Amino acid sequence: MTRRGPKGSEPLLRVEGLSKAFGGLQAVSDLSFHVREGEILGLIGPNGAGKTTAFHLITGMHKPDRGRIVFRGREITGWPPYRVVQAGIARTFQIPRPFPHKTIAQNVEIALLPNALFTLRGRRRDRWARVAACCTRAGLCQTVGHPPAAHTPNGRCECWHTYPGALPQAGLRKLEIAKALANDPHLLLLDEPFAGLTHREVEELSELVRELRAEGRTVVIVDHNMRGLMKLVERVVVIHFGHKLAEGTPEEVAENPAVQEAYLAGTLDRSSSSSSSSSTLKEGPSR
Amino acid sequence: MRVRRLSLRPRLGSALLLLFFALLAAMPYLLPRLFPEMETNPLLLRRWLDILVMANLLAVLAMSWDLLGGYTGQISFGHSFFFGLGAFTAAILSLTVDWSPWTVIGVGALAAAVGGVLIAAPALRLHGPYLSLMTLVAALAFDRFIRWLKPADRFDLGIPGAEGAILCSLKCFLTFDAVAKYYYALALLVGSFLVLWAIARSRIGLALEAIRDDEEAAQAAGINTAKFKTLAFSVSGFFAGLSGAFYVYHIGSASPSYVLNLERSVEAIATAVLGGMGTIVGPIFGAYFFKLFEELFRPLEALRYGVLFALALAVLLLVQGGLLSRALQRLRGRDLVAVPPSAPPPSPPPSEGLPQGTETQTGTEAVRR
Repeated sequence: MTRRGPKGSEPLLRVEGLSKAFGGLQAVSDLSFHVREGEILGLIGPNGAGKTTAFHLITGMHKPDRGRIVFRGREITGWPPYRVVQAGIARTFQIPRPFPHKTIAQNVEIALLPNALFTLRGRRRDRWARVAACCTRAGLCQTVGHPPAAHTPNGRCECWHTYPGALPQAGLRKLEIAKALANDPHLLLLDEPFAGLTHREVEELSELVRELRAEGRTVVIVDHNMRGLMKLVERVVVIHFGHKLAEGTPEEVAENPAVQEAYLAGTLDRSSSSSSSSSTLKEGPSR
Repeated sequence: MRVRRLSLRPRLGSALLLLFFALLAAMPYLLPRLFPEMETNPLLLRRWLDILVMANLLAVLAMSWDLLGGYTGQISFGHSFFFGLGAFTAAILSLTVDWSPWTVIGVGALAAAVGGVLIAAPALRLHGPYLSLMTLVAALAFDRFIRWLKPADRFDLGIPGAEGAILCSLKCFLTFDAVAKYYYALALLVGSFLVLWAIARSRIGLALEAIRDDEEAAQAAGINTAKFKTLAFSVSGFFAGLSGAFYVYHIGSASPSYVLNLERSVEAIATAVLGGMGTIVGPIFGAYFFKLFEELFRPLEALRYGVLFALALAVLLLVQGGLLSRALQRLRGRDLVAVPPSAPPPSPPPSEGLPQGTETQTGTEAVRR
């Protein structure tokens, strides 16, 4: 299932002059960047640079003060979140936000619910089949201790009986991705998916992201630490104090003096083998 | 094996509920058998059946509150607004138009549903305590408005009562037969329960619960939260209004001091809390408990409300989710909820923890000085 864009030059997502202030704080100012169809883009910047706010603006959780957001040739600026999701943009949260009183399968089902009050589409049986597919796709069935080959005939795994509270951190991240996948997005926005994960878990999740890209989805990953992203992303946009500081391949950006300045120099040293996010230099001064 | 257990236990619960409804249906025959004095004194039987009617009405009101408060997380402190709106619409219509009682009660409920949409419009912009305060003030404002309007005096409707009450007892009555009225009220309870239960158990209920648990995450999951919240307000308003309209046809009047009293809101909340919020079925048992307690401990006078509300407070503190749902949780087997492996958080290295501790200590000492 490939979904390479029909429009040659038009990027999948175009953000133009986006600005948003909270009280006196200019969280995002005159931010412009674009996302190409089928790429994995890294959106990086120090903590508080406005990366998550940019996600909130794109997904309609906040209304921008100024600027335009164009997705697949349609302006979606100021759309309510559910319409942005319907248009084909799904996101995950920096801190996983499962619905704690619902099973993992129900968590995914919530993302599949139709908004129409009366509809013949979206029958429960079909929904559950999609839920099973999404849970399997995101690797949740294995996480909850279900061998991949041992699905019941109706395709259900332990996700139907397990609550999110039983999931480890990496499992919660997968659940976030499964919820996002349920909406069958063209564009997947991942907010710090690797934070707090072990090296092995980062590798596993990176592999999942690559697979999703191979399916024809476009992925934008926010992280404050570029090291873990270097091998995964093809292009990087660096945000600092709410506007774009640099753009290019990971190598180009890492060499950029302005970027090194912003990161207090050396953070982007990718020759270091450890990819644990706890060793970024932004924590350096506090030690 | 687990799957079978999952599907069997709710069936046990429904069987118990069915038994309860059957017991209620048998009440007019059971009561005189159980209490022989009722056989000789039909007024006593009538009185007790009226009490059960009131329990059913409270149950419908509390269930309607539960859909909005327990399921959608929109805590309303002003459900008397919907109850009163349904009641006054029914009272006025019964005096002005020549419709059947059921049509009038239905229109009263519809008016309250429209009231729900009106409340939802500002409610969509408010959250938590602000939303609750808004519903409280709306109910209070409507109460004062009716007291000022005195619709009975101003528009020559029925017999004017104190503080803007409308007495319509000649026009708004269902039947003289207490047993028949009891069955009407029971039908109202069962019908309302089935509709609310079906909504709560459907995909709509799942969307409402998602909104309650995390509204932003629900939005990110593609749910049109504004639409579902408005729906919850109007459906909740409808059933609260239905209860209020039926009340008018039960009592024969609509008086702000009862139908618009904030106590109705508090009763609805306490009932839902006692029975278990977010269960729909809980408020039914909560309402019967509330009304029977109220009646059986009549010698305690006003103190019995103190006891009831203190009980509700204790339930809130100790068994959040209500007594019934805790019992059901036990029955359905908590083993289905996998417990995460307990991993104690790694203790911070002493070299870091110690200076921090001394720092805060000196900090507090400085504050003390």
